[in-house]
Amino acid sequence: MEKAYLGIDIGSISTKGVVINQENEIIADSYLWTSGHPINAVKNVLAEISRKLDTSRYKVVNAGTTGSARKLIGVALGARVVKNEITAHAVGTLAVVPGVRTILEIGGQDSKIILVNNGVVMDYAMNTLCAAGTGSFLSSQAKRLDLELDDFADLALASANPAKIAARCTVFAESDLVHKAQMGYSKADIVAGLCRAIVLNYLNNVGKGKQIKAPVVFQGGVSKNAAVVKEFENELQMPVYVDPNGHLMGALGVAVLCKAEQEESHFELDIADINFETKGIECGNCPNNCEVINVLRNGELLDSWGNKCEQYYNSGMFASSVPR
Amino acid sequence: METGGKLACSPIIGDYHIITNMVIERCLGYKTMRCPPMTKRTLELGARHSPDMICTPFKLTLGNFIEAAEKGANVFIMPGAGCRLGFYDILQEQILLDMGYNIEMVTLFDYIPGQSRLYKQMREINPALGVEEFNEVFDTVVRITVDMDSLADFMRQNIAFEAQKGQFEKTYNAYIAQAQKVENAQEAKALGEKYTELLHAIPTDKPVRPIRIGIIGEIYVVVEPFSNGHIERWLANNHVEIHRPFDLSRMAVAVFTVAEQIGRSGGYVNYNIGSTANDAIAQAYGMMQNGIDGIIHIKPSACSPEITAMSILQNMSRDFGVPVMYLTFDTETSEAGFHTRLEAFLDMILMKGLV
Repeated sequence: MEKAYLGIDIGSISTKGVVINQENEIIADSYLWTSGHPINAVKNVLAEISRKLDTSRYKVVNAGTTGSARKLIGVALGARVVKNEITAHAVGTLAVVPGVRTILEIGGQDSKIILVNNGVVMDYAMNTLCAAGTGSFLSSQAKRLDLELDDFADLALASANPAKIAARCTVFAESDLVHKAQMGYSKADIVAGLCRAIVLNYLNNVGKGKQIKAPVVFQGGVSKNAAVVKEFENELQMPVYVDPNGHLMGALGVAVLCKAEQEESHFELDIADINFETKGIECGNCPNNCEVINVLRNGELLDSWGNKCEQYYNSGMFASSVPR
Repeated sequence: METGGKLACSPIIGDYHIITNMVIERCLGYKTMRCPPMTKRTLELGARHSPDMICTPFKLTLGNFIEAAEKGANVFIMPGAGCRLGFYDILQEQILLDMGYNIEMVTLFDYIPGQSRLYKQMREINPALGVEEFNEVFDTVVRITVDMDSLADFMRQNIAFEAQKGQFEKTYNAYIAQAQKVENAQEAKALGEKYTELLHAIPTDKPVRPIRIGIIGEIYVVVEPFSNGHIERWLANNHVEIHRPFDLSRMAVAVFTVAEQIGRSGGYVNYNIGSTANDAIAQAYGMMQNGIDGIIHIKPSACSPEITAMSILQNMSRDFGVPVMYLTFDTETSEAGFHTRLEAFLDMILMKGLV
């Protein structure tokens, strides 16, 4: 039996899972919508992975989670590695493109930039207050223009004269877009303008002041949009590489981190019949009204967190059973 | 002087209310109280009655005052100086009056809090205050300020490694409790010496080379843990030696002028960029020269001096190869986003393999 490692990335929009072998090669993967129910999404991802995985040859010895539901799923699965998405993406990308210097990432709700030198993360930034430079901006504008996201890129690439659309803020961009449409710009020009706007917003808000050096890797859901890739290349004056597995980099990253773990744990892929439940309660003992989250597995308390007072740090989140 | 019925309080800014309350009690003869502890309610009340675009410290301190007014406080003490902070007192007074509270506002330290200036200010309110009486109070609070800041500084650098959890905080809190009761500067000095010894005697298990992180930024969010999501506690729980060269004694007692601050910033800033931002640059420069692993710059939303500082820090970060992370705090209470960023920041430092 060969050893294999499972990484799961539970994002706000999609849930990704990969299993890698000792050589960091992806031997099974799955990519599904989270649909607001991370535990179900993970169950489905694991079901698909166990169908694809050659279980007569590989045995999953460790699992890790990343993404915004990493803690919840980490507790539910008994994951050995629970890692933030910034580190996970950096590690995953380095496994695929070892010489990478700059990682651009635009996801559904967040965007980040990671600067790498000699295989080590030197600096990073993440969007803070605003969603203007993210995928949700593009998808909401696509809806407004009555377009499928899949047609978006082709249409944009066909434009020879992109409309100028303000990039600073989603609300202003939207009124600018409406204005251009009412002036009679073609849909293609408007869509091309939007793709340009998202690139400018990203470079100004997330990449501000950071030196972007080649090779540049672009990932996250928006990297699937060829028009945005082209705008990045125009703006940066350098080639921008999009890996076909770019959406799996976070999951790959935690899987690689799992491989580095000394201890192994018995890991069961088949969790379809286990009932996971989370119960949020408001503490109510003081005006903070902390929302305490309890995670139950078949009715048995696995872990709880969210409590802000002293005990929070002693017995809650930080002393939790999830290794960090 | 008639002081009957006056109940004064200062906003919660770290533990500094013990200093301001002491000045008010002993120079003006007012009774003082501590504002109710900061909670989500403080934030909600403050935000509801504040202009939306005002900086976060305004909302939180107003929240403190409203909660204290509910408990009967009628004299509020506000520091004022520097940036928009200079207008907090006037606006907060008006808001509280409009809300129907019959209160008065005392602005302490309306600029650099020089001794004679503060005396004049206190004399205006209490003409019976003698200069010797005032000097005794002043010497006492200066002593306490310097001591509590140096105790806290030592605690910050070692709390992550204490052998038995809670020892540092317990000892430090005991000092704060007793410092409020000292009669004069001699007593304050003796108390400070006693607790310095006690704090240094706490057993720690510190690695030879821990991760060292510096915190700089706007003074209120740096000093008040509630406003920065208890960032120091998070770092300590993740085994970080914290350096925070920002406190009242270094700001007000040591009194570095803006020119001095600019002089200590290695040429990265050449003119006054406002409020504590000059200091932030100077402190960052000093820490980077001394080999800090990373710096976290924190500010309240829309703090213009610190926004100016950010682009200067960016240059410094590039030149020294020391990463700087920028965090902005406003009225949000979700901590997930900023914990993710902090985790990644520590991972990055660990992956560099210098530690």
